[in-house]
Amino acid sequence: MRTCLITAMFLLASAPGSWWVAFAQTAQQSDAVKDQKAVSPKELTGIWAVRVPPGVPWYNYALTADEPPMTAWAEAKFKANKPSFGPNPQEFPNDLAYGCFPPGVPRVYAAVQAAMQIVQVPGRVIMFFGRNVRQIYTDGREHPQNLKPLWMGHSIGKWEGETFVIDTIGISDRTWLDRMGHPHSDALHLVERFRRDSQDRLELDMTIYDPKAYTKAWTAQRSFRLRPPISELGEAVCEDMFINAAFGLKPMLPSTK
Amino acid sequence: MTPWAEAKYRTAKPVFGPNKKPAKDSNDPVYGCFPPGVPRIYLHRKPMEIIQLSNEVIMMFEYARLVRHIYTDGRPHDKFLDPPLWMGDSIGKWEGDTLVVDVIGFNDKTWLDRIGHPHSDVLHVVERIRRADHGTLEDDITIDDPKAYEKPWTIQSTFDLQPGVDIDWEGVCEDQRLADRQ
Repeated sequence: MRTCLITAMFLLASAPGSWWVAFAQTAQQSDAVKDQKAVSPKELTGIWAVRVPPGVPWYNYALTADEPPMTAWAEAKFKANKPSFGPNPQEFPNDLAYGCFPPGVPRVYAAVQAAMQIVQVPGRVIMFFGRNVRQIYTDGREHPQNLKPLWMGHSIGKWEGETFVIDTIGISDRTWLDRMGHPHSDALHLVERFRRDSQDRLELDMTIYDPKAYTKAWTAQRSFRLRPPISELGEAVCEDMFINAAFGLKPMLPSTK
Repeated sequence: MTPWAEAKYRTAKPVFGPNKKPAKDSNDPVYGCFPPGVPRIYLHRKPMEIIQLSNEVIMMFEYARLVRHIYTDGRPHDKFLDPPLWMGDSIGKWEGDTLVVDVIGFNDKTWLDRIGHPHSDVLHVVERIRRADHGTLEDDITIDDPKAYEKPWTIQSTFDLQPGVDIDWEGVCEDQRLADRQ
């Protein structure tokens, strides 16, 4: 059991598992703490804000501090990609995210101020990254055969003790792994291990398997902090920012005269 | 319509209705891949899924891959909304068996429908959503926009429950626009 400094709590249906008890560390917090109930580590519902790990630039354009071990195939693709972040930022990027295409997974974890809302319902865990939604099936189904590429991949999840393990395949190779243009192939297999380490903290350990693009499997980590229940994800409308000029698409707004 | 709205309506180039134009000449905001707003989102015939939590109701729309959060935890509207929102700021409360959703804080860039009826930024939408029977959801939608309409008016949307249907998140508007150009 650990003592946590807690500013936020969720009052949601309980799930089996061990329980934490929270202790106020300051007098100001005692009232808020009185209203709190312990939440199971198998309850992930809430809005979570990313913390960038040490070594990764604060604006979070890479998954790891070290270069991942690219194959020759991936090196060639990496050189052809024109990111706007990283050691070789381009004035005219060919990053599909600037065309308001979905970022894919795991790139959703390499965003500035990345926040996600997790919702747990029977048979599914749903993750919202603004308008980009991942459905992680927890009803015991397998990945489908002959899967067509999907922007956010096909995900199945299961609990291993208090760790939620997500297995994802079928991620469209039009997406990049991060904002500096590391590529992946259609063979990408992502395994994410989420663990609610304390009341307000969620730890993610992910492993990237893609033998076509990387000479060996590699891992990346992210940590998340729970936001207060009053938080909102906000309305994320990419088109407001980029109007897709990079892709020759013009805004078609009616005159506001 | 008020004269202000009439004038705005005449500038619309929709692809449906009495003033319809070819898609390439349209200035319908959804052809620029912008969100359709409320209540127009209900006019597009793609499924929505509703997830009900203790503090909010989430509507997930296949059309435009939109997610709408309706907060039901008693919070007020966001007083500091800047800029205003494409889908508005939605709060909800239960009146008996009816979920009453109050929506304000819209920008004035969306149309109310697919034929180009405009609205202003003072648009106030009230939805009364109830389950008429197990398989039917009814939504009475009141549109109150004194700048654009002389009096409030009401429309009704009806939804049929579709068991076993999953939202398809793959329809990316920009991808379609790119394909259209090729």
